[in-house]
Amino acid sequence: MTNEATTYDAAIVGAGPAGLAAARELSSRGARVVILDEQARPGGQIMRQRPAEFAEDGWLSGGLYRKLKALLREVESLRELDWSMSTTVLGVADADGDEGFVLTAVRADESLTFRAKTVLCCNGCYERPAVFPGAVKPGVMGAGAVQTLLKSQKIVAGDAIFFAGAHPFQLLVAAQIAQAGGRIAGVAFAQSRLRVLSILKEPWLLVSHWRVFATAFGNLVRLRRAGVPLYFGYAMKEAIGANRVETVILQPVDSGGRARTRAPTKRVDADLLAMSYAFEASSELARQVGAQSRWSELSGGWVATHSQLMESSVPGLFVAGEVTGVAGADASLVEGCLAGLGMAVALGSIDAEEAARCAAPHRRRLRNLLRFAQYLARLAAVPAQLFETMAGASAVVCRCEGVTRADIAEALAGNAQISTANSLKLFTRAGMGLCQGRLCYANAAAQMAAQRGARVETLGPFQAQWPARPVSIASLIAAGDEDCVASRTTKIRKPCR
Amino acid sequence: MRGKRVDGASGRGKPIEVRLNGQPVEAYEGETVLALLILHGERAGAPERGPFCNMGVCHDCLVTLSHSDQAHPREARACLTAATDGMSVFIGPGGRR
Ligand code: FES
Repeated sequence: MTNEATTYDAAIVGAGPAGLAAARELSSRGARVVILDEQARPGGQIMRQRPAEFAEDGWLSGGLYRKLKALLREVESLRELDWSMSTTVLGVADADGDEGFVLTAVRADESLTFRAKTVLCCNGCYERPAVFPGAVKPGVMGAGAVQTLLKSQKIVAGDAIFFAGAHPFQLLVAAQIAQAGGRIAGVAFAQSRLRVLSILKEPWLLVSHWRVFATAFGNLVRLRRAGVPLYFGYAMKEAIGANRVETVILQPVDSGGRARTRAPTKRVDADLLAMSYAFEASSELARQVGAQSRWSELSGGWVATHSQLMESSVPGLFVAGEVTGVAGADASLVEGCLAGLGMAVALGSIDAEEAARCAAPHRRRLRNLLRFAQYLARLAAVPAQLFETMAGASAVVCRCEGVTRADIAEALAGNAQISTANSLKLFTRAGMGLCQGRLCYANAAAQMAAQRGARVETLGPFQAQWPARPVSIASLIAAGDEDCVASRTTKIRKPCR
Repeated sequence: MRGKRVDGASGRGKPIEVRLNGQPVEAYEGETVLALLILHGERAGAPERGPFCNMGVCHDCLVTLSHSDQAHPREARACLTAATDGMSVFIGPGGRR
């Protein structure tokens, strides 16, 4: 239940580990909190719950999830929290004249408005698709999509599933699919076998994060035992098939990600290709409000910057979790605790001194977790030339608008005045489609940086605009909010209602 | 049929009546429209493209939904929409094939 007339102390966008941890902290201090999320049930992607109608048998069993599940169940049982699930947040703006923020959102086709003194953007990250011929074909998905279909919907999404990527995450998903009785056609890493195993040479990591490694190693052993072919030093060359993927072709690559043209390619039959190359931080909502971001090649692209208690450059707007840099669920949870404390300070329910005292153990733990995350990120880093090798000359970069590498190259060559990612978008339409540039930004920007001899951080992000997701005009007008629609679409900052 | 339900029908909600492009398909309460598309080998959204993310980002799972108790069909992302009894699903925005 939510109440549109209420001014909440805190609105939390994202019901994953960060949002749940912040909600717990804030409610324990008596704050009025509303949590908004696009999913029907809380938990975030890491704990994508089964639908209420399904049995819960065996959902996310295993030690890795224990602490997260305990947090989820605890917060779900808090009576004083308001939830607005199945809700798409379109924008956050400061409430001109009043203190705090106004959030605009839709649930099914109903338009909603929330007011809150503080806002936490912890809306996670998503998978960066690789560009290669056939990559947009039906039957090519992110490994995360294949995993959430399994853990939430109990569905094995293909008859023969091939995994290709550079991230150890794909081992976990492959092992889960195999355990559920799915057939794995193979798993290909772009890195060499030695590089993938080199993590075992870091004893301090093995000791401090033994559970993660035990799981990863167990997965590897399980896949081997099941006879799953593992390929090291192979990248995607092409996905082929008449109407959907039928065969994947692999290209041997060297440690820098360049094609080893003399080595033979491999063909494997599969009806589902799950890719897992990198993750991107979903910082667009925070950026839309005006929060500063910085470029982080290894942890998700444009990530929101913040204070020690997770306040962004916009006073009262907080950020936590993958939005601040992709570092995994444990780090997100701790950042959520810190954000909760920071928001309590902003609301005046605790003083800065007490917050600092409460934050100290979280900060120590976060330092340790981020160190680990950075190590993993370096290890899983996509070899420098890999994306370019896979993309070739003419594969589709912008799925929504069908803009190819060749289109972008031509626009850049013919228009010296294109100097930012935004201007590239205007010239080519890459980034103007329904996903609003989320899936093409990284690839388009990387291509532009290479062609212009510039660094990506100098090109800037695609500007984040209202609405954060496409929405039908009908659902906004139905709410009798025509002034609001007009003011937003013409970008005049005017309070809605 | 592509892929499969783990443990078949067990552990799912009650069977419901759902039509996919006019054809009745096996479906259970709690299943998302995307799950049904995948199980029935149907693509969604624009021609030539498949759903990528199962989390509301790519919009390549757009479908048109109509329901006996709703006046107008509506567009929705299949991955964020639970199938309900009596629902008709048409592929692509505006029901375009
Ligand atoms: S599958 Fe990407 S939005 Fe639904």
